[in-house]
Amino acid sequence: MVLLMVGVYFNQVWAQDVIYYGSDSNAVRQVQQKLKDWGYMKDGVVDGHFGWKTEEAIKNFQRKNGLQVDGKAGRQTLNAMGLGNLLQKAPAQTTYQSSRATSTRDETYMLAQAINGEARGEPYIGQVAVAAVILNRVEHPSFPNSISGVIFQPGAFTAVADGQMFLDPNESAFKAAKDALAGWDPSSGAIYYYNPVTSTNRWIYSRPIIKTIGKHVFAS
Amino acid sequence: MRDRRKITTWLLIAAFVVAGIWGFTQYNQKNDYRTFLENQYLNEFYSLLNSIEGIEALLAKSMISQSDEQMSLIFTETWKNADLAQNNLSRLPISHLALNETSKFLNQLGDFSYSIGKQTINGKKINDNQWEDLERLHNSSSYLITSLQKLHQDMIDGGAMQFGELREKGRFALGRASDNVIQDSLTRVEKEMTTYPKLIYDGPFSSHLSEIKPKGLKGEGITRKEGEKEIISFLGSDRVGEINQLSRGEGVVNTYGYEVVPYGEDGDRRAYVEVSRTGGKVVWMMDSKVVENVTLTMPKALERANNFLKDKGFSNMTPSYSEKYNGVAVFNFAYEQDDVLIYPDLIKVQVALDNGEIIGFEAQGFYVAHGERKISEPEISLDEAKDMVSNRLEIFKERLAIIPTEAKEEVLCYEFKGNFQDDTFIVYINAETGEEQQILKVIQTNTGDLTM
Repeated sequence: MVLLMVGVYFNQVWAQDVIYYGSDSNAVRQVQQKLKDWGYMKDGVVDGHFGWKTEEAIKNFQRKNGLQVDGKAGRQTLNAMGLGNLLQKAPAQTTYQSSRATSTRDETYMLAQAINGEARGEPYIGQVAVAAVILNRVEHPSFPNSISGVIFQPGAFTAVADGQMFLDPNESAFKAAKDALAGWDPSSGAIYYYNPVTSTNRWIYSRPIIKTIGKHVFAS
Repeated sequence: MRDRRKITTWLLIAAFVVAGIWGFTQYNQKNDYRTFLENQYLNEFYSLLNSIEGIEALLAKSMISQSDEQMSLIFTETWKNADLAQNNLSRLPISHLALNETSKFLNQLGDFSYSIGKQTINGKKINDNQWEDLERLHNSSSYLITSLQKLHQDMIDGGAMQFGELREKGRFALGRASDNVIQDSLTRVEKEMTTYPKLIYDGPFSSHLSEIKPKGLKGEGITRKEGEKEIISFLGSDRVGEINQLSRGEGVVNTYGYEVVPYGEDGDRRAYVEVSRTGGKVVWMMDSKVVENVTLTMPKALERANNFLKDKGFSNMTPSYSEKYNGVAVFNFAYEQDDVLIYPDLIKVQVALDNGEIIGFEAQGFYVAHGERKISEPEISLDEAKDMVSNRLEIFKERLAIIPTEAKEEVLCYEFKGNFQDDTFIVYINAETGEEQQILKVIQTNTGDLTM
């Protein structure tokens, strides 16, 4: 039996009169975003890549709006979506890729995890303070220059070392992370904190103390 | 009877064998992980060594290079290497204490190279102080190489690498090396590139200004009791139940800390407030309220925030950016004078989106930077400034603004907001020199616009 491998070859749609497989990812992304927002694409991802989920979502939209159901976002469909402007665009003259919206979700999540691991049970202000210390370290020359770098620096946080950090953070931890990212710093610029009752690190006691919040002493 | 004994014996033997096999596979697995981990560490170590050797060579070359282009290239390479080295260093399994100074050194080396690189691009020559700094930096990097190479030699000589050897010996070697590394004599420069997107101006420019004296706080020192009165006036007596004292704060602004139990609260909700010891102003406030149902729209929330500020005596505050998350809206306000938006005078207000209560307030930026300002006339006109902006940018908004620089100074600029393809950018043109002072990229997230 001879198995024929049929390579499916999608044409690049240059003139943008229909958004379909192989279309410019910019345009695809905009279509996907609308479909997602309106609930037509429940488990697809807005990634600029036209796949079967996108096609299905378009079909859903077309069905709901009395359009010809063919899974292609052509003139009528795009106009119905309010994306008529995509049709006018001439083929891209540069290869400039419009940047994806960088999500702050990963930073927020990481910070929330760290808060949950390090300051669970502390007053809300203590949680924001812990996140603020992490952010202060990012700015500070003696520490790594990224949030992940600071959190995962070997030996820096006990909750990271013993895996406590990997529990699912709660609502309050998320808000605390967001508040710290938005600029609230209840620690007044601290880059160290410790629990004087449980800390075994003697060096840290030599750091100038800024204040105490809950069980933690904050120092610079 | 005998049979049962036999079965039990066999069962026991089987159990032992299973346990043995399990133990053996666990042991192998552990070794695999250990090796993998150790390899990662070694990878970082070699990369570090490589980068520092690169830095040493580059700095040596910089001493004798004449051309501006060469210099610029050399320092850009150095900056890149310093950054990479710092990264590698921070991933080694060596205690932060031993690495502290070296890390600082690398960071400052990076910043310094960056700013010299920028300087030489603009044709400015390196002055004598900077030559001295360069020599010192070069010497420090040589020391570092020697220590690292010795460490490497030790590890090889030891024969088969023991797990944790890097950690043990490394701590010692790097601790010693850092004694020879010179820090504070380097001219202080802060990095310009931010590492994560933030709400504008709290944000790419704001950091913890530890040597700065607050300009906006004048007057007498106050007592704890007076602080409490200020809180009641700030929050409203209907909101305040009990006030408890918390720790004092020693930072850029010295404060008294308080915990406020809301009136009639029988749960965990608290508001935390810090009042400045000089002048008795509320520097920040944070309410731990959890918002369940969002019913307020952003424009309405903005109205509340605006009214709140006016009520507290802050006039001429213009909203600049906003964010919405977890049922709250955060608004950034900047002070406006003579049609110039002054970003360093920053106040943030958080509004609860269920009932419009003000549950967050942050004015440290404002109190540190705000003072009497005499704003000079721009040297170049709006049109001249506009010419300096790349014509690939479709500008849709323009105004004058004062922005902070990385050297913690303030600069008057024309602010142009525009689009390029599908991205939005903000370009600042220095109103005196016409130079492109700063470019920010607006990152649109589903919680608000951030800049990077």
